[in-house]
Amino acid sequence: MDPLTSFAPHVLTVSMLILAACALASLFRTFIGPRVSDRIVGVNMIGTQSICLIACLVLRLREDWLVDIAIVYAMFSFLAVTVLTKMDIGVYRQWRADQKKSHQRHIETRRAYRQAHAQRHHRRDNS
Amino acid sequence: MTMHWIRFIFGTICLAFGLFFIVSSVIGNFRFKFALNRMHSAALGDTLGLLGVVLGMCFYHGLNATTVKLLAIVALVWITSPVASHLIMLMEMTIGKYSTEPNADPSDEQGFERGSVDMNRHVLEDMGKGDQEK
Repeated sequence: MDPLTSFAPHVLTVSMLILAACALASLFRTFIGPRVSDRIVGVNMIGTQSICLIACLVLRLREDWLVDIAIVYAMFSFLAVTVLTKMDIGVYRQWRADQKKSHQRHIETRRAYRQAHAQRHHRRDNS
Repeated sequence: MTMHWIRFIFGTICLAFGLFFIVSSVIGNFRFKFALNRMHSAALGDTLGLLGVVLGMCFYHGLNATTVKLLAIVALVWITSPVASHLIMLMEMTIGKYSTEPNADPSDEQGFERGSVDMNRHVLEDMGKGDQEK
């Protein structure tokens, strides 16, 4: 009895079920993650577990071309994490620069208002 | 046939090794509190978990072109995973709770000119609390 044809498919089915449960748990973690970083970590873990799942599926289905899909999946998972983090950092920096600019404008307006009305208030207080 | 049994046993051991690390990375992702801690468990699943599963698949396959491609997946993920972790850390340190940048609150007049030392006070206080609780 050949174990690679009789036992290995069942072992692979069980391990794929475990991997699917782990991916679902990571998806739940991604949903309830309080911050963007937690969500991106969860997405990264889902990507790794999907790569493992595809690697198991290669032997389970006897389709060797699925390995290429796993390689492309690894590349795209890395690309997604890179783009998301860089985009978030860029959006935050832009928002902070806008806040700083509007804050400076607010301070200058208030200073000009005080300088324009300081003399009148001074006279009114003395009279 | 004996060779097939040896391949099956070694492959199953490697597969169980990798699945153990992947399940423990998921558990750690639920049990840790901050994103910087969660990255630790995520890296565990990225490196040892993937290596175990892919090595098990290599033992099941034998020696052919698919095995080389599977090992190429491991090489690719081992190269790209530290870069992704570094970028996630950079984002967490830029926009997160432990940000070292000055305060962006417009109601704080001196907030933009103030350095990052005062802004790190809450970080140090939090770390002190964590040490006292342990």
